[in-house]
Amino acid sequence: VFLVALWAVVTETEIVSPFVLAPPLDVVEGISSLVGEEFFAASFWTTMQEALLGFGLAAAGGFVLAVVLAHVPVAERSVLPLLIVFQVIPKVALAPIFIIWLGFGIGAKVAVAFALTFFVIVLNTLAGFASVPANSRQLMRSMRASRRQTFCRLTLPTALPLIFSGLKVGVTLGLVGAIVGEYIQSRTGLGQLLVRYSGAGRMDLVWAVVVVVSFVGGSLYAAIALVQHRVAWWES
Amino acid sequence: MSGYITISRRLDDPNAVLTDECPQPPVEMPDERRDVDPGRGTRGRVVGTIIARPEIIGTPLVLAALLALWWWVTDTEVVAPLILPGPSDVVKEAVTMGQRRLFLDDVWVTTFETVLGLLLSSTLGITIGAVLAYLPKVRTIVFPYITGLQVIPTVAIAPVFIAWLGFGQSSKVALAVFISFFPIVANTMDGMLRVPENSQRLMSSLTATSWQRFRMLTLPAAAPQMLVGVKIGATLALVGAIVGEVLLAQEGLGKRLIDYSFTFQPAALYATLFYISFIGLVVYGTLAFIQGRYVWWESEVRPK
Repeated sequence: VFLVALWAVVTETEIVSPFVLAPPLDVVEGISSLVGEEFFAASFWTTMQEALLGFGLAAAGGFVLAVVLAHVPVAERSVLPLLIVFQVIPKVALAPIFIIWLGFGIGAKVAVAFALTFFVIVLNTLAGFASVPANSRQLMRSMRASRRQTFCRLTLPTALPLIFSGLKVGVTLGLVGAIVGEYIQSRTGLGQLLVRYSGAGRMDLVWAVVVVVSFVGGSLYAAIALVQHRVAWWES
Repeated sequence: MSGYITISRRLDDPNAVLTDECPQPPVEMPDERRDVDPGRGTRGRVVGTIIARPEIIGTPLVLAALLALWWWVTDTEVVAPLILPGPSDVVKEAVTMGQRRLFLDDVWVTTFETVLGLLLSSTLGITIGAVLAYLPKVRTIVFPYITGLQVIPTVAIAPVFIAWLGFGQSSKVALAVFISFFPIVANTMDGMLRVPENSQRLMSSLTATSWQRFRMLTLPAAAPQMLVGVKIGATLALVGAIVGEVLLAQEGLGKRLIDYSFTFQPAALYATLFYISFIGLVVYGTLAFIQGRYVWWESEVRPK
């Protein structure tokens, strides 16, 4: 509240030019005018589709790969260094390549969102599987638990908190991927709106979109936190 | 039965920890030991090492398989060369680009933005993280914002920085700082707050001054986690620099990516990508080296 008040005072008295920092009232007006518009709704849904599709594919694929790797230790130890290297490489640089591969439509942005999200999810899921205490594993063995029983009753539940923290980081990254993909080339989407408005010098609308994007990011994060609370209630 | 043996070996092996945050503990046998000690039988040693650490040959094998797949797919033209050029073309392109003065300038521009951004955000982030760790009241007020800002997609603000600071390098440095700042603050603060209570009591009973306590206990105890934050920040700073350049710039590797993409020069595009990855790996590797060298005493195993 204090920050918003400061923002209002600084901009209303024009200490800072409105071009540099739009007054909060203008931003609020900008949001309300944008929300009514049809093109804004279209952009909004495009970006959401890209982000969520990329995230969903990465979550499913990442989980499956992690499960496979966890069951084949030799493969895990061979692939893990490569996964870590990919994690370090800036995957946003892949965006232009995806655009060549998949064209100007939604596919390329989904791919960017996927690439950003996938490795975080694999690494967190693997870390979750590895966090199972040796004693518990031995207990499962001494009770003659089958592989599947061990996995469903012990490994998966123990790994859930780390898997969920991967998902939480990942959902934000999915949104980042969609927006960066749209920066480079797109016809619709929130990232496209950001580029267009900043090019036109409409800083109030840029800020309005930034606020909307932040709100969406926060909501997605909260949604996953809620699911985590439901599914893995024993940890939180 | 064999399943059990593998599992237990994995859990006992300190090298098997599943994060990139773990500096290699100095238990590895240096290779020359094998040659100095012929009595044991070199062959048995080699086989033993490979069984204990299959990644030594496994990782190159996987890498070779991926390269072979890439080569095969492009050589038989299953995939059009416009979409995916063959590995030899990309290597050739990378070599010629590496000899071009203009291109090296671009490499330097991006490296400079990344490193400067990371240095600024580390200095700022560690200072603010430490202040927050020491002032509980400020922490309770400010911390929700810091976690909140980590949750939102910070790249969305990139156009704002460009509007503020122009087309030059400063807007990219600012973006790099902004993106990499929050994980550093959060990790520094977290590390300083998680100093074991027993050690703190020991410091009190030894009548340590607060400066001594900071220098001898808090800082060393928090350093591993701080470095985790800086390493995450390093990756993000490069992302910030690239995104800024992609959006609007006159020079830099991100700008080149866009150029090569729109003029359909796939080989050059992939070569640029390798240079970018190389910068990322060098910066990250330097930090990992620093961690292994100077912060060897503890490795906080806590993935992001």
